[in-house]
Amino acid sequence: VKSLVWRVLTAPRRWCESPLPVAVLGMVACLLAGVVQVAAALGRAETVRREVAAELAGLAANAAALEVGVAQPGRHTVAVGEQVVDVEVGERVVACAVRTRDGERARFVAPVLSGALPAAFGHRFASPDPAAVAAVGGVVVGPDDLPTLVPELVAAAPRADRWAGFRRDPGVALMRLEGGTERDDHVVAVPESGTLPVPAAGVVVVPGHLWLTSPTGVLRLGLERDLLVVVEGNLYAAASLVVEGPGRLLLWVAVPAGQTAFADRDGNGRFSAGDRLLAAGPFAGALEGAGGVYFGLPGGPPELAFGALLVAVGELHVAAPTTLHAPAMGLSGVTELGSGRIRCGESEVLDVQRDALPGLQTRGLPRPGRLLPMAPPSAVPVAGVPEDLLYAGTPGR
Amino acid sequence: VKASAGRGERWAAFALLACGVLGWSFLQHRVADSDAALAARRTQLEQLRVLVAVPNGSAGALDAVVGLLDGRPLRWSERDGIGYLLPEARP
Repeated sequence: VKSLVWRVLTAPRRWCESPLPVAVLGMVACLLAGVVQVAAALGRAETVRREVAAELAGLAANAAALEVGVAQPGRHTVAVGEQVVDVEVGERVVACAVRTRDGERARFVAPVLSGALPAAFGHRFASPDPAAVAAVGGVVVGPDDLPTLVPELVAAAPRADRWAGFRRDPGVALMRLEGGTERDDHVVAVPESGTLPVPAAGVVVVPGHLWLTSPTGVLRLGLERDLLVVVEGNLYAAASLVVEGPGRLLLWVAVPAGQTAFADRDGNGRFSAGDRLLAAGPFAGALEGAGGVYFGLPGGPPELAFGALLVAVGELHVAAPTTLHAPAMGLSGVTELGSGRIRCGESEVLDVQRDALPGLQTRGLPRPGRLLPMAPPSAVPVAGVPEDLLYAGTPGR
Repeated sequence: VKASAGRGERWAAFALLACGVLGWSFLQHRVADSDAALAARRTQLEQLRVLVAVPNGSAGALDAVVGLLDGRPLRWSERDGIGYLLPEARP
């Protein structure tokens, strides 16, 4: 045993007694290192090649989908550059399959849109009031660029007091406004799952005021689909709002019949001397008015981040530094109270030509929406593709 | 190294080692060149994605990506007021 151990321990020494084996070992090591490096480089190049192929396939599919349009349902074949695209136009979905040079097939799907969104959604902040734009940033837009609701959808939408995800809260206003409010107050009741249920049409109506509150100062809610919440009263943001997709939340703060919007110059939450009416005629309705948004309330965090799309028909009242993280519209003005300032964050604007939101009137011709890849080009071989992939029941997001 | 190793054996060993190191160095330089080209291609791919995400029809922005995506020219096109990038066949 001692002899065997000695032979093992002295083996490297014996191998080193001749320079040739050492040199061969060194060369093999260099060769192996080179092969590993080249293999890694080839892998990186292949990754980029696939990404480029996917991007080009997406461009070709997009061009083909727009060329075919949605007016003629059925299967169409379009040549775009060097690529051949099969376009299947359905009632609700447009599906495109791109045959690439290396025998792979990229598939994309897009919802059929009834038209374009109003141009105002293409900006981080838009308002017809130059003073509001000066305060927040953004662009001044004309009446034609502003959105309008589909009245039939709003009339048929479920009311928040009878829809899971919202509930009436008679005490919330009393805790933050002296004297409370005259109309019903509602809060968001996030289910345990953290995801708000969305009705089929994607619209919920709050018949009164909506309060955004949270003990942590941040209200988080998840959405599987886009949701339009029409607030027929005021919106009180006493907490930051974070919406976790893929769905988006659009809060539309409206002035219902019989109510009045006003600029609450003293910030007391009710119409009083010195406040400015936003419409002609005498003040009518509840003292707290409607259509207004209040950022920053007693008991809330010192700064607010607002992560929902917003259309405020009335005044934006800002009592705390607020950052908008989604496109917003103030159809009236902005009233800054105390240290309250509002600014636009680094939010992504909507592609108004190819995007859709529930409950809004659209403009222009029906069209395919944004194409979404159904699978990476390499993941779906040409042969053996199940045809039902082309007919997704609902558009993915 | 054993003192008895012949002069020829030592030169052969040196040559082998030198070949290995030079070959490895050559491959490393080629890989570095390839990675640099790849980085440029990836940058332009990102630029293309920005163009696709926010179509603005700017010919100047398009110049930055033309010719590097498989050599295919791209041009802006429009249908029903919707701008989009159209990949054409190789010239």
